[in-house]
Amino acid sequence: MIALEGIVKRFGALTALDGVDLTVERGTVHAVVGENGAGKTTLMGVLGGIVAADAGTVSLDGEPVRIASVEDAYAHGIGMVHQHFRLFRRLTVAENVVMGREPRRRGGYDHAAAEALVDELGRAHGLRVDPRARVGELSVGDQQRVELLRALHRAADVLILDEPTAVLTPQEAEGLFGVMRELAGQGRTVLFISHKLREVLTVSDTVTVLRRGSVTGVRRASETDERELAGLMVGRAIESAYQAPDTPAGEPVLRLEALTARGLKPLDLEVSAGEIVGVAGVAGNGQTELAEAIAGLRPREGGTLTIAGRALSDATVAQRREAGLAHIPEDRYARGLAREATIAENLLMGTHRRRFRLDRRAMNARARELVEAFDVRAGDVGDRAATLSGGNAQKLVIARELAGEPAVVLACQPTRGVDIGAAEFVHAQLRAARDRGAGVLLISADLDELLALADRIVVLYEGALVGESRDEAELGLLMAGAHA
Amino acid sequence: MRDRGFAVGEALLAVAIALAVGALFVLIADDSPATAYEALWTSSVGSTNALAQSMTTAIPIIVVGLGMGLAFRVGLFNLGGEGQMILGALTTAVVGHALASLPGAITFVLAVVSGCLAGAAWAVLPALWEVFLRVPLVVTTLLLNYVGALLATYLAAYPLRDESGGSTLAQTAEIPSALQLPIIVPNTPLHAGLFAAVLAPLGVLWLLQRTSLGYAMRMTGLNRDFAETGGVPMKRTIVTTMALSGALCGLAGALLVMGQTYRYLDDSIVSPQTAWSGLAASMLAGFHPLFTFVSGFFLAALQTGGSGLQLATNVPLQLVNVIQAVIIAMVAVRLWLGRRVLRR
Amino acid sequence: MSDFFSIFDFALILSALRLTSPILLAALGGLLTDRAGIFNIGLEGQMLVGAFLGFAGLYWTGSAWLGLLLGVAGATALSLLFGLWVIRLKGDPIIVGLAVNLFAIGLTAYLTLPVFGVQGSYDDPALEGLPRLFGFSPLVYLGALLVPALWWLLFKHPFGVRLRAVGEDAEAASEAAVHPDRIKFLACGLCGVLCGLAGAQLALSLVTQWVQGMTAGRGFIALVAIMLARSHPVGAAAAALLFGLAYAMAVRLQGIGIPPQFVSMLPYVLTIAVLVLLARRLRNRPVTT
Repeated sequence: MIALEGIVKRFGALTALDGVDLTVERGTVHAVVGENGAGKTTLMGVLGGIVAADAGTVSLDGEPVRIASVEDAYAHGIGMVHQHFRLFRRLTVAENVVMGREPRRRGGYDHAAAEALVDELGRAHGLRVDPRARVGELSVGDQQRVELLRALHRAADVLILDEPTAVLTPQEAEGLFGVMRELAGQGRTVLFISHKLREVLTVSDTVTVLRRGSVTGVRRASETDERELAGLMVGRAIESAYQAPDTPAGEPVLRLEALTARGLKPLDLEVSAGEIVGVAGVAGNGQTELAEAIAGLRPREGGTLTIAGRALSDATVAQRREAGLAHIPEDRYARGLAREATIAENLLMGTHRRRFRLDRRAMNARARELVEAFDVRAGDVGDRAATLSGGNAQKLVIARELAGEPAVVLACQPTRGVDIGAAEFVHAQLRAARDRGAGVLLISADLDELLALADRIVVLYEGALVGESRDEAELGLLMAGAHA
Repeated sequence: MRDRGFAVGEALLAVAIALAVGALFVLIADDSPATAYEALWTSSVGSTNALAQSMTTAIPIIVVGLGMGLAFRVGLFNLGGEGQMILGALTTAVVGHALASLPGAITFVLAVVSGCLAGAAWAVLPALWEVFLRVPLVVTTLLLNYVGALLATYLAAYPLRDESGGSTLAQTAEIPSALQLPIIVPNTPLHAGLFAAVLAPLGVLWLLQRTSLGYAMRMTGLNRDFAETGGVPMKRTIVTTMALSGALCGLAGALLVMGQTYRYLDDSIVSPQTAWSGLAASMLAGFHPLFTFVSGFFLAALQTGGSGLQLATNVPLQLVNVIQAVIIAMVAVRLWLGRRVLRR
Repeated sequence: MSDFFSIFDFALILSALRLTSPILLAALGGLLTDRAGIFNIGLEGQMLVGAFLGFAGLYWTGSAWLGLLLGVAGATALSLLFGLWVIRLKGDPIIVGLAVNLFAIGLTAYLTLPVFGVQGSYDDPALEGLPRLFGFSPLVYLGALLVPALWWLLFKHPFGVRLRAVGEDAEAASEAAVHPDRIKFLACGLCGVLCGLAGAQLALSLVTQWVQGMTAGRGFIALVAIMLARSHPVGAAAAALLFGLAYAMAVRLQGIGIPPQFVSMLPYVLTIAVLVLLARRLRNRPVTT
């Protein structure tokens, strides 16, 4: 039996885990469910040796243990498979799996033995992958198999899987569930992080629900249903009921005609003034590429792009922005802002070109207005952006992009990793932009977000737009590549 | 927040450690560090003349440091300041000599401008390779230093050699007097180039803080992807930055020729490590233009003191090169240093 | 023109092989750090210290072998210092590498006077450099043997696989119970040894004397060889050979009356030209920026 008791973890002012208890029977599949930011991954990180808890104990079969590092976790038979793979793309499958405990022969690396080992391990668990293939050349599903093989090779007893189905098609997910059941059948323990209740109920024996860093319930899968779990997860009625616009959509403001770029098949798409068009899809199916192609960050290979009636197929980023395009990038720290620049400087980006001289007083005054209007909780506009919390940093990006009343808003994963309050704020801003007549293209991996916000939802699959729907089941099929 | 006082503390700490390492080296040369540093002090700032000499040496160091530092602030490792400075010096000397028959003011302007352009050209080349071919600029700028130095040596030794005097050194002919910067403190070498060393930092500061181009450059340096997403044209910004950076380095060379050597004198830049002193000064100043003036003067004083040091003791003047390298090494880990020592 | 072609003969090839050796040794060292994810422009300085201490060792002991040992020790110490600064103190490798180079220039120039009693250069015809086997110093043979040896180490030994893993993603490697810092330090140490050998080849075999700044950018040329070869030992050897040939031609062209400063540009110009012409090869390079 694996028991975590009274686990507390704080990140600065944020309490990620607030005295969490978790008990897992050996030989079972145990799901940990919760919304984004509920603390699931942090909790599993404590068990996996990645996160150091501020308080609480971990015990295995009644013995208290100290897990200070990943190595400690492995020593106790605990292995973690991350949502973002930690694989070496330039090495082979076998080299990845045996990394750190390589078989040797005559002083060198015994590649034959490593490959045989991986073959055998794969056969035993139904995880067949070519051991000589380079990991970077494998499909996402196969890469996950490599992660699983590696965890199994190193630590056979307890496997932690962090959102393993986020990047998988339903068929691949089905296969994975089979493997999980089989592992449990062999007496191993599988801990499974998810927020998809249907799959949780399919595969697990027991479910622990987390909400904002606390356990709100533990249920046997056979004795509960989606509705009950959802209630435990959310706790309050989320604002996100879909609200139709008051006025019908107007003229098209963003039009893609057979637009292609590296990683994208020819795309046709129209977004009209006063509507929110959602782009759904499993992560890694061309979302980043689509956003970059529209924003002007990825060279066009064919087709045309029109923004607010202007043909801008090969226009620079600046020209597109001038035409009325706003871009909320998917990773705010990578593209959305400069952490070491001041808040005012971050708010200036994009509009700085208006004249050669830079009026610092005007820059700061405008920054103060925006900070006020968009409720960015910040000290002074002269402070570095790095001092902002995640939610406020995102508000900063939103403020900059929406302040100029753009004709087209390209919003990519706008609520990823922010707290619920900030997410609601972002949603309200996007709706407001639509209601004053902007066309919004919302690219999101969160289907609930899309269903709550978008007036139409199209699906991106392997770089192509494969259909349109507002029906959850149908969207699921489209996302899996089953053409409607 | 990292405040300015903290940054100054880090810089002083780096200097202190470097001077301590220097003291160890004095011991290796079998001399007393106290005597050595006293000689260093006396011959660098101990008298009006020494002070003026240090200030004179500081002029090209400050300007070349501003040039290289400007590129660094935009995230471009321009390690080619030396080559750019050499080309600037050579071009100014040659153009100045060739146009001696024109009115003085015109010669002056053309000579200075051509020196800046030569430096800019030597910097734009690697920038274009980086932007269009993705050849790392760090490496090409370094290699171009050797090409520039050898090219200048060849030109000064053969086609452009000064045949008038009996000098055995490779050097070009003397520039016309209209081009020779006037001495501003009588009986010292300090010349009017000082005004350039004062105005250039102010100009760079104005560019960076008060213009939209400077804003785009700084944002590019802080987060290139952010700037690109915001509509800053990346290729143009990189090439422009390198052009400005190289032009400043070229100007430094021009000032050296017009204020001190009055001709292109072979190896007047490489051996004294003028460009590297400039970069060290710029780093020590945290790439801030105004502080670069202060740190540039400090390193120039070390340089000047080094010559006096060698005369007064048996400590070789290259001690200052060692100190300078240690300063760069300490500045490279300033964050670590500051955390460990200044923040207990 | 006939003069120009007259330089291409067997002696040119022999000279090219000798001149390749220091570049090759440094490139092999640098590709180890490159594979570990460290862009190392400090090769130049490590070589210079290797050359200086190599010759100083010969001067003190009269034995070129002891000189070689001292040169290797000095270069390795400097390389480990570079490692300490980059790996533990998290300094930017380019700036720390620059500091290493300037430190090496300052250090060797400074010590020239106390060690040899003169400034600048020192030469004593009585001092004998490394012995020659069939016209080449043992280091030329060693360099050639190290090419397959390093290939084996990188691709057929656990250390090499771990090294490549660390270079790709140090954090993931540490989760696989591979200690990235330890591996990086080892790479730096080996790099220092090889750069020390490269420097010794310069000061104890190509010539037997100390000249200030005698590496003259060979470390940077080795760095280009690494980049062109994408850190593969065989490719690095090919590139080093090309640059060695350029050095040999420069020497011979001086012999037929072309000004030395002019022909001395040849290796640098060729290096830049190759870099620019083969720029496509550099795309998606494994490590470094």
